[in-house]
Amino acid sequence: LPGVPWRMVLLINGASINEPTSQELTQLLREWSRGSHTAQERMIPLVYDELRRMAKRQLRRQPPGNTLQTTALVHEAYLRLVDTSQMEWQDRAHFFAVAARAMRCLLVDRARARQAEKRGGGAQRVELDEAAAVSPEQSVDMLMLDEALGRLAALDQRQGQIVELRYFGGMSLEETAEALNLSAITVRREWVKAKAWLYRELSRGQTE
Amino acid sequence: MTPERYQQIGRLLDAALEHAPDERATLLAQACGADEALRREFESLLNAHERSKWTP
Repeated sequence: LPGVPWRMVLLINGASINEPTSQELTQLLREWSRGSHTAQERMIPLVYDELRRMAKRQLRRQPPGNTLQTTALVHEAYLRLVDTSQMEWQDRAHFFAVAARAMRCLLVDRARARQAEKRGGGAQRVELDEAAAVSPEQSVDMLMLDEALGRLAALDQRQGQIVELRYFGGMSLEETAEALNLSAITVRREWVKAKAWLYRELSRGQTE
Repeated sequence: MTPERYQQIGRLLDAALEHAPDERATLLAQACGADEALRREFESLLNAHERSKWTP
């Protein structure tokens, strides 16, 4: 794991790690590994709050344009929030599953807030690292994507999870396979189909 | 679309992607038969797949 050097860089740069949150998350990850079904639900708001703070900082450092580097944020959140020395590989996968869900919520909330500000004057478009993979354009309408992803999950829950992890969590095929307890071949096959379906749905939305 | 229908189209897409493009017509004819709606769904998804960027 490349965790240690990055963690050191963050500390050297003076980034403060939220200790109580970190301890709570590390505890919840352990409970999850022991079979707790509520651990995941309890982790989401904790990770959400940290991601929101980090996103604000990231956007402040950039010229205007609202480009969130979502994959970098999720990875940074992992290093900031989890005591990596105590973690098993499976815990890492669990954390990313939670972070992907939290990132999705964050982006949807941001898009809704923007839309409300503009009083419905055009949906907010957000640029994402992986946007080109599912959208006909580089930027994607987050509310449309969220809604389409909801419909995909209703048709095929596993494909919905794969997209969430890959797209919002920035996880590789191998990491996604580990998180969902699937083979990498299966994840790739399902990802290809999910992407085609989403691409079609988002294309339809744009031409109408 | 129902989940069952989506799975059916998905299996067809898996099979099509494992075959060369010129073999797909035969495969499709066998799998869809007179089910025109299935054929249309399949073709639209295959088309979307080809337009979407390949980033495994």
